[in-house]
Amino acid sequence: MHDFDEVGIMKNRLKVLRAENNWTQEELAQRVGVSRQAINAIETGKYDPSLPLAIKLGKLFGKPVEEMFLPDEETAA
Amino acid sequence: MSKGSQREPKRYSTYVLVLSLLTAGFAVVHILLRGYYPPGHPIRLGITGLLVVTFASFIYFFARSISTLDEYARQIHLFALAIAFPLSLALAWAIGYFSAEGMLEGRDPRDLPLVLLIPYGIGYALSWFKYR
Repeated sequence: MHDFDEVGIMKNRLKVLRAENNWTQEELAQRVGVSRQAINAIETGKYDPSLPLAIKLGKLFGKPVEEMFLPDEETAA
Repeated sequence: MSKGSQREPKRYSTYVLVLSLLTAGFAVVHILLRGYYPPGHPIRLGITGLLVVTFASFIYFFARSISTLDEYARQIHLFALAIAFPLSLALAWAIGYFSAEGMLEGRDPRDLPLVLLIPYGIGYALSWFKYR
């Protein structure tokens, strides 16, 4: 049986990038227009953002999306 | 995102909570009044009217609150509905079969929607723990 929570989950550098900017999860959430819980879920790998949100995050941090979000080798296998 | 638009979801969720409590309260009052007043009595009609108005308002504000959610919260609500829908079907099916067997005699079918709120409550509670 598939565990749908695990399928397609990616690793990301969101927490590191946020820390580099000295932003709290709440501040980052406000900047991209989502809830703090959504940011927390992305950082902890519970949720993959939609493409528009990923692009918004990429623009905010000045990084290409593929540099911020990487396939998790363990779950992708 | 402006501060105003951030407050909106909280305001809607307060309306949803108050209206759901009022709806449940009027439903309980209606059930209690059935033993005291005959059908069509002005008091019963008044409570029925209030029940319909609060329930309709609840649905309106619930829909508004869903539209203000972000993508992650919407996924969680979808998860709640995915649990609630089959549970509701199973519950309605079980109630139908048990009443056909004469095990639920005296139960008013008007109260079925109250019972069907339980699966959504379970789904919502599970999703709330996941969303925290």
